[in-house]
Order: sequence, then structure tokens, then C-alpha cells
Amino acid sequence: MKAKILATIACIGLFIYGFTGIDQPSNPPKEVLEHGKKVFNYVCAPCHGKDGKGDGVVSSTIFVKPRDFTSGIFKFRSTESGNLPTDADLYESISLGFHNTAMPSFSQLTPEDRYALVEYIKTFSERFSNPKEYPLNVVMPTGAIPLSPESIAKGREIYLRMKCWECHGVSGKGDGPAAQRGFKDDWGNKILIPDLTNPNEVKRASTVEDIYLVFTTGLNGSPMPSYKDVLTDEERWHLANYIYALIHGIALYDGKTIEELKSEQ
Amino acid sequence: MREKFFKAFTLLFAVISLTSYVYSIPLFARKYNRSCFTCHTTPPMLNEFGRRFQSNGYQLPGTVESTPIWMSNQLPFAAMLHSTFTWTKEEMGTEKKSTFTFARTGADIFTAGTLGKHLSYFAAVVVDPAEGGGYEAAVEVAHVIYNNILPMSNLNLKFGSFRLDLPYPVNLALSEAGYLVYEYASEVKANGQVEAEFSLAEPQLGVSAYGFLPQVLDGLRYEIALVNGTNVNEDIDNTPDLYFRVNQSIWINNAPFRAGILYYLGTMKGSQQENKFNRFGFDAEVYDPWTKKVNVFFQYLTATDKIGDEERKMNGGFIGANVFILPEKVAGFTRYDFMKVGDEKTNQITIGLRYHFAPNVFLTGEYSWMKQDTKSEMGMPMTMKMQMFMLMTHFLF
Repeated sequence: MKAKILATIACIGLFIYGFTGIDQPSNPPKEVLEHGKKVFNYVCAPCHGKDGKGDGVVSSTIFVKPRDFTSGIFKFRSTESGNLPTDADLYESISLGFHNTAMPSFSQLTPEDRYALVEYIKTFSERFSNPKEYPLNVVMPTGAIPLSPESIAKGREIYLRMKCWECHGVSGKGDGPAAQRGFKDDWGNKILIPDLTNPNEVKRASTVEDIYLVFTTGLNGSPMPSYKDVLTDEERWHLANYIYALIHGIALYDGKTIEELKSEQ
Repeated sequence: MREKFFKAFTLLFAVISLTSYVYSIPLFARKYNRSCFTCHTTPPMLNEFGRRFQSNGYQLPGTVESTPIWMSNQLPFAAMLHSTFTWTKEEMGTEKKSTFTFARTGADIFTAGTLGKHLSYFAAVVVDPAEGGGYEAAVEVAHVIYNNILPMSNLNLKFGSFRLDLPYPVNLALSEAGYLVYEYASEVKANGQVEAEFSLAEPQLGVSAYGFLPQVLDGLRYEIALVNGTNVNEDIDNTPDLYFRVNQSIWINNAPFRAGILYYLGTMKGSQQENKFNRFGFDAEVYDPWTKKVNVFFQYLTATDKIGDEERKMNGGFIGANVFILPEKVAGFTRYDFMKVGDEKTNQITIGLRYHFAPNVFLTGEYSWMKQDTKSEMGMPMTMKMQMFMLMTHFLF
């Protein structure tokens, strides 16, 4: 009961003041960690393993392997390449899950449970308690360019110029020449290049901002780099608009809209 | 005489081999927008996450849902179509017989979900080709679950018709060949006709308290059920039977080792006979702790039937292995069953391979060999052998 009250207070505090853990390592109450361990062992351990190494018994029968938390490397973040994720990033991953993997959305878990999980997951890697890892450089997706045929066409041009097609294919179907050779992530697991024309194959891309963040932060632990230093902010938004249009079937793979295609006939 | 035995043996083998118990529920894959492999090693066998999902009233572990199915934008129905080609060879003495059969497509239809906070349900309808043409449908199980009476699925109650929580549920096995010891039937007869029967493999009517306790080492499962014990047929004596099962998990390098016991105590009162029967068994299961791709399981079971002064005993069991060769693609399975009832000994070996074209579409090839040593009515020893090869396609949607 005491643990529940403390967890509730901690959670309310979290929502009032925003997520901690951006400027310095967080120092959650012991009760929160104990609660997190209890929830983790019940809900997460079958896949991620009790010690967070991603080697739970379920990992042997699924293709996309569960995250190994001990390395402190996370693909989907709002922080710059090589940085740890923020607490909000971890909370979002638990809440939304990932398409085309075995990780479901745990939005039905109580906020207290999810917050306790975030804190407990961070205990698996020493990186989270190392002050040298902080402050985290959080990327704010500002300056968005509205989705328009022009922006989509520019995004297509950038897609070709930056040779995204080498992995993702000219049509975005994940069948580029480099993809044929196969990729492995930092943990030695095979990676499937997603078909960007199939919304069910893309792990996290429900908004243009999600896609912009992927180009800006890169996916740590995977061959997908950050394009922050090679593309301008504006170019990354155009590219994000093009990929969003591709995923959601708004544009044809060559960047043209249906109207443009008709006018050419 | 021999023909009679052939027919009886064929019927026995057909019943235990071709009965479609298999459950796998793509409606949850739709509801949670995730692949079948989130909960299944390969359908219908549940993985550790799937077992916890099931224990939690068909909801994600750690959650208690409250949105009823009629408020959801997903239809709470799913179906599985299955087609089977079978080659059978029977031998008794010098007589041999081979049969090729293309069974007409059958279907299992499921509905399950949340009815309200702490309330969920599950029902399955089996549609099979009927003899002489057409199809026949039967409600196999239908029950309401009052879930999470104690949190973390520590205590749930279910009412209605359901399968007893066996160590290796017949509806979740990869092999189509029935478990001999679970299929073993206790019965009462009237004028030489079976009036009522019970087997662990069949659904029962009643009430069950069950749960999963993740707090006890690496998880303890239990079930205490009161059931009518007549395989969902009309009760003939209103005497509740008791079923008890407990199973403890310990993880070694995150690979579960499970061991448990089960006990069933029943009474069946027919118009001419009364049968006091029981089952007692113990089970153990282990995953290889390195790759976690090999799962070996074992069950030993005894049964005693007392009808008047006559006592009949059965003992037997099975040992098997599942091998998850390529994740989400290829799985293999094998099992050896043995059973002794009086002078009658039955042995069965099955081996099979499953290939997934897609998570919900798969092809399974299975070979079974069975031998039964028994005595004729004249007291002469008889041996019957049967081989069967099945090729099955399953399509779930």
C-alpha cells in the first residue's frame, strides 16, 4: 500500500514537472524500483528476460528480437545520435509498442506501472547512472514544413540524392541492392528493411514528426544513421513528408501525386 | 472377428488423430495489431507471454480492460480453416489395408474478449464435415471469466463449459495425434451401451478457480475446478467432480523449467452402474537454457475406475519435444505415448514438421505410428499396427 502511494505521488510529480532524467541521472525512490521490478518480471521478462538482456524464452521464437536493455542503446529516441533516450521516450515506447514486432502497446498499464517500468529498465544499464552521459541533447521537432505536393517532390529528390534507395529501394519497398546483402544490428540480429509503402511494416511512423526524428537522431544500434549533419533541417522535413506520403499512400513512389500523373497523360 | 477389431482400432485412431482441437485466436492479433507470434511459438502452442495473456482473461498481462466488445471497433470473431490429406495403413496379422483420404475443409470459429471490467468470455464453435455429406457444428466451449479478482491474475473464476487446465492442453498441441492418457475414458454402461463417459481431454461443465502467481519463484499456476465430469453431456448424477492442478516454474537462464501435479476425483452414477474414478499425474517440462529453441516435456498419469467390485487401472504417459528451428517459419515436433490398461498395451510415436507461409497460414506434415497389443475375446494375443501420414493446411483469419 505504501509503495502504491509513493508510486502515485512520484507519478503525479512526473506529470506536473515533466519527465526527469534529461539533465542528470534520475534517483527514483526504492519503492518505485521495487514496483517496477514486480511489473517487469510479470509483463516484460518473458521476452526481455529477468535481467533485461533481451534473451527471454520468447526471444527464440520471434524474428525481431526484444531489446537488450543492458547496453543502454535504444533505436527510437528524441535525443541526438549516441545519446541515451529520455524517460519520455521510454514511456512512449512502452505505451505505443512497435509495429511489425511482438512488442504490443501497453497503454492499458496504469501510468504508475509504466513510470515504474521506465525507472526499473534504466537500472539494467550503467549508462543511465553515469553523470557523464548527461545532459541529454534533446531534438525538438520544430519548423515543420506542411505536407504538400511540392514538399513531397523535394523529399523524393533528396531520397534519390542521398541514396536512401540503396537500402530502401527505388520504390521504398525495402528491396534496394544493399538490402539484398542483409543487415545486422549491433547485437548481431538480422534486420529486415521495412517496406515503406506498407504502414504495418514500419515500426514507428504515425506522424511526420516521428519520421523527422528518425532522420535527425538516427536509430542507434542499427545501420540507419543520423542525417543531422548532412541534411539541413528543411531538407529533413521534406524527406519526412515524402516518406510519410509513401507510407500512407498519399504519393506514388516517384513522388508524383495522382493529379500530376493525370496531367501528364 | 479381425474385421471388428480393425474397425474399432481405426475408429480409435481416427478419433484421437483427427479431432480438431486446435485453438489459435487471430482476433487478438487484430485487436492488439500484433503478429500471432507475440503469444504463440507457432499456433496454437502458447509461449510464456501467451500463457500469461490467457491467464489474465485474454488481456495483456498487468492490465484490466473495461471496454466491452460492443464498444470496440473490432469484430470479436475469428476463424480457422483446415484441410487434411491422410494416408493410413493398418496391419493385423497378415491382413493389411491402406486408405487415402482427402477430408473436406473444416472450420473452428472463435469469439472472445472483454465484457466489462473484470469480465471476459471465450467461446469456440467447431464445424466439421458430417458423415454422408454436409457439415455439423457444435459449441465446444463457452465460458464467462471473472478475471483479476486478485491482481496480476492471481485469482480468476470461470463458469460454463471449458477445458481443464492440463499440463499440456490438447487444444494447444502442435501434433494432431491425441495424448493417449488424456483421451483414456472412464465410463458407465447400461445394457452394454455407454451411458456416460469422462476423459481429461474433453471439455467439462462447471466452475473453476484458477490463476497465475508470478510472485512465487518464477510463477505458479493452479486450478481448482468443480465439474460435472461427463464431457459436456447432460449430467446423469449431479455429483460434482473435483479437479486440482498446480505447476511451479523456475527459470534457468530465462529458460523455464516447470513441474507439477494433477489430481481428478470423480463419480459417475448410471442407471445400472456406478463408477468411482480418479486420475493422478505429474509432469515436467524444460527448455534448453542456451538457445531456448528446444522444449522437452513429460507427463505420467494413472487412472483407477471402480465399478462395483471390479477395478480397472490405467497407467501411462508421454514424452515429447518441440524444436523451434527458424523463428516464425519452421518448427518440428515429436512425441512418444505409452499406455497400459490391464493386458492391453498401446504405444504411439509421432513426428512432424511445420512451415509457415505467413504467421496465419501454415503447412504441417505429420507421421504417426501406433501399435496395440491386446487379447481377443478368446484370450488369444493380438497385435494391431497402424501408420498414418497427414498433410494439413491451416488458414487463420
